[in-house]
Amino acid sequence: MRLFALVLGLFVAFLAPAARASALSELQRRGELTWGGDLQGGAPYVFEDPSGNGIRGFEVDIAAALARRLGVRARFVQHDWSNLVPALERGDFDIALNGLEDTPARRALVLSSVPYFVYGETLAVRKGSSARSLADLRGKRVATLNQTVAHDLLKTHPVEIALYEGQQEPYFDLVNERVDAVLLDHVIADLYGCKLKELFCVPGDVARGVYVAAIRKDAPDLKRAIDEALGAMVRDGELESILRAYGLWDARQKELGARAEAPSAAGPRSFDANQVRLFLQGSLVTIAISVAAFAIALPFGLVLAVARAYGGRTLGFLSATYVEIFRGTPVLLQLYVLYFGLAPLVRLGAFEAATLGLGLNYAAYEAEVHRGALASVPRGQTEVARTLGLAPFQVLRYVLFPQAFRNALPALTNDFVALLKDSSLVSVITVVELTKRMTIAAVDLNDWVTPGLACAALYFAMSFPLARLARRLERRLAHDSNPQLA
Amino acid sequence: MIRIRNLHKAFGTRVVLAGIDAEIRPGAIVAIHGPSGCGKSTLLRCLVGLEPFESGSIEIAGHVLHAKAKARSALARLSGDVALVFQEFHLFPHLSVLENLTLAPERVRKVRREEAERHASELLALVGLADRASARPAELSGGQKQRVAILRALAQGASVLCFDEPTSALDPSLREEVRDVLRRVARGEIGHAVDAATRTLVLVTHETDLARELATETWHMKDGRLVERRGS
Repeated sequence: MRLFALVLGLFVAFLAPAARASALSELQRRGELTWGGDLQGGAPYVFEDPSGNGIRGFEVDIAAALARRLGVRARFVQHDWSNLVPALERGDFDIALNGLEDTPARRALVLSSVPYFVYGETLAVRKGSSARSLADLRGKRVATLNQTVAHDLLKTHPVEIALYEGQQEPYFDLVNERVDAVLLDHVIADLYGCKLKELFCVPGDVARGVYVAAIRKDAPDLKRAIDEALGAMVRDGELESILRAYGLWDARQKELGARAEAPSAAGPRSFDANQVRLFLQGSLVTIAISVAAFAIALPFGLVLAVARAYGGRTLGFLSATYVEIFRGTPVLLQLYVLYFGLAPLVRLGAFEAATLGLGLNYAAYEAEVHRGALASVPRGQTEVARTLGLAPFQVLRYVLFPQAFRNALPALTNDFVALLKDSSLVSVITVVELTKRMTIAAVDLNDWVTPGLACAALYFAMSFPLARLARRLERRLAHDSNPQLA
Repeated sequence: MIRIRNLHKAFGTRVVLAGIDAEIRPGAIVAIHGPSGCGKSTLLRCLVGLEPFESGSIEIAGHVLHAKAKARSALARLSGDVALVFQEFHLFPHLSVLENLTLAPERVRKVRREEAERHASELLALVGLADRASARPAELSGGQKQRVAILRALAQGASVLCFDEPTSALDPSLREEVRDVLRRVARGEIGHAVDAATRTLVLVTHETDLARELATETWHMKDGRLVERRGS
């Protein structure tokens, strides 16, 4: 084992500097420029061609032009947008090119190319709203995307921020009155927001910024090459023709070619007391969602289990169908359907949808736990209770449930701990709980270790006492001993 | 009065009861003998409503059980008027001894809690278990468990008490304490004195000497039929 570690260490020490010696020459030897982006971002950035012929988008064309000018082919690498920069640092691709804004925080982590696009931050509100600026939105809920300049901008205003991962959803929720405004790039706003008849985009940019390609810090030669290629594309008009092809060329683009200054927002940050406070807040959200969801799952699961075991053919079939559907499909899908899919019918808030979604999903699992626990109570218990004259529901209430609960307790504890961790899934519907808080902090601080450990410690601090408590409760109930011996 | 008319019962193709006809007058003590598998336990389960049957009828404790009726409806009809003491006791493990005795009176007969507890305590005192009232069943010996099970049936105030091999699961050394309780139940010393005169006991047992001692009537069963009835 020690020998293996030594060999591995030598291997890394030997190989790493060699590989990084010249990113550009390595890339040219390989014959391809790999670039990271997220198809979920959609048109006009990077999206799947509707006719099924690969991918399209103005960034696809820019990447192809850059690659051509470097004498190689371009190859797209799909990656979750929020984590494009960490993935770039890990070496998953050569450059990240997907609507990345030039911010000081990002410059602390990676090299930025010269800009290839100038955007304005556009504020969208519902028609009839009197808000015309961020100042008018004090205390209101404003939606944006995670890790954007718009997000940083909102942090400096007294508004409640709702963070999304996709570009369509913020406007969807604005129409559905779950948020009061959306602040995003004009590209996203024009495409997804301003054309909706229910919405109004405030004229004039709230702020202006630029999109840049991100390059690893250890590849300055690649940055120079990309900068030169982009500069040439501005001068010879190739960039303009690409942007025109997607209807993106406007007066703002005149600023291209001038050296864009990054907006002087927040500087480099560290894991400080404020972060600790935010993490604790995230933990509270995690606990609140888990407890509320389990408070739904436990009794509803019991109803399902009783319906399945004693409800006759019809109820039994309905219960079994429910269990199989909710167990057989991803909880993530169920959350999407509940929050976005059902919005035209029921307009649930994010927290309500999260709680209900997890609760309904876990009810299916708890139903099976309860069913097994009920079945494990010997039949003689039911028979003797029935001959004593207890009605069927009294048998359940006074004889079977108390015994079944004891049998179910270990599995229930297990499921609650699992739920505590599954609650991180609700971040897809804008709830910022512990895990989401961790990823936000990690990207902000360019540090996965400290936030990661803090997050793990908090989850452990929540689940471990619970396991101990359950063990104690089990021991106390075990005092009643085994029904077989009674 | 218990009237059993032409009672037939089969499990699939296996006939267990092949036409039982019998009457039992109130206050009688019937002991049922017979080889294993002769149908005596099944007959008992039919009497208490746990087992549906294909044809015939049973009139018991003022109720009529019909053929092909579900066990659920038979049990609802009897609602605790016919009790069964099982070979394996089946005490409620999550309840104390006292609660085992008060559950059905409180929930089925709607007896006030203090009243039910007082009656249960009296019963426990009569069989020398007063000090075990708050114990859990798991803390009792087999003989104590079966005595509590018998008291549970008595506390419910059933007018017909059925016993399915009440001493078979016990060590021989523990059987005497249960036999003793059975004797006293038969003599009407335990339970409501007013009930004792009309209380009917049906006892399935292998213990012939106990049967001879207690029974006013002895039945012998073979292959699902009642082959011999002897009054004593």
